[in-house]
Formats: sequence, C-alpha cells, structure tokens
Amino acid sequence: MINRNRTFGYVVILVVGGLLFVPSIILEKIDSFWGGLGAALGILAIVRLLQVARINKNKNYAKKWSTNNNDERIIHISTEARSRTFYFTVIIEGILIVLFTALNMMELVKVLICLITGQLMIYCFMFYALRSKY
Amino acid sequence: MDVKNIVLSNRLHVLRAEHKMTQKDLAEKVGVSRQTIISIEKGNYTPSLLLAYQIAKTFGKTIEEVFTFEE
Repeated sequence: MINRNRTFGYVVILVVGGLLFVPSIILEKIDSFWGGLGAALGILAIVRLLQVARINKNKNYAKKWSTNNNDERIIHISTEARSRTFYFTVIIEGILIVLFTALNMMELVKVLICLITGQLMIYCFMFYALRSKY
Repeated sequence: MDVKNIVLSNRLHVLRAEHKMTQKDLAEKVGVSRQTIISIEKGNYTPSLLLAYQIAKTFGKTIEEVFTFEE
C-alpha cells in the first residue's frame, strides 16, 4: 500500500496547481505561464491520486504495481538509462558548445559551459560521496 | 582473477521443471516480474546476491547449486 505521506504530497501538489491555475487562467491576475504550470501540476496530481485510489481498491493491481516498482531488474535498467542519459547529454552539450562557438553565439556558449560545469561538479560530488558510503 | 572473465550460468529452467513451477510462480515467490526470471534464465541479466539467494532458497538449494561460475 502507498503510504499516506505520498498521498498527502499529491494533494499538496494539486492545491499548489489550483492556486496557480485559478488566478492565472480564471481571474487573469497573473501571467498565463503560471496557469499552464498549475494545470500541469494539477493533472499530474490527479493522475497520481487516481492511481493511489486504484492501488488501495484493487489488490491485484497493487501487487502488480509493487512488483514493477520494486523489481531489481527494472531498477537496474532505470539506473543504466539515467547513467547513459547523463553521458549522452554531456556529449551533446560539448558538441553544441563547439557549434555555437563557430556560429559566434557566445551567450549560449556561456550558458552551456555553466551547465556542463555544474553537471560535472555534481557528478564528482556524488561520486566521492557515494565512494565514502560504499 | 578478473571478474569480467567469469561467466554466470544457471540451472533455473531445470529446477523449475523439477519443481513443476512456471516462470510466473517463481517470479511471484521471489517478488520480481516474470520478465526478470526470463532474463535471468537466458543469462541476459545477472541477479543480485539477495535475489540469487532467494531463488536458491525457493528450490531448497545453495546459490552454487543454482548458479554456476565458469572462468
């Protein structure tokens, strides 16, 4: 069964979504960007809450959901996918830096250099933190 | 000894047949998906030590009796 904290978290996200959506889209007091963000958060929270309700009512679905979420092969694949995503992201950013430099779009180059440096710093930090743990 | 040179094979298919157990039955007993059992049987996925232990325990065997390590 899904714990209550997670359900509470989804309710909070739903409320935040509503608080952004209503003043933006209905009252038109703030920028429509916030309304879009609120709608997205609201939809996400509703989908998750419906899933929680289904898990609590349907034992077979709950078992299937639990197996899929705790299956070590799925966790392994997910970790591998994240690792490769990071690897390819860094390569693509590197290529874009060279490309934008050639096109003399230096503002974008600066942003990309900051991004790639940040990513690599977080990676190094996580590597050393995890190395001391394991 | 280089760990990369060790090939892991298993007797899951044989043991399942001996115990008249389907992939789904075994998956439910050890708490993984059927696809995971299929991948382990085919040798596409190396299970964790804990899962290997659980599988071996299900058949009343030791890990070495289910999984064989060949150099």
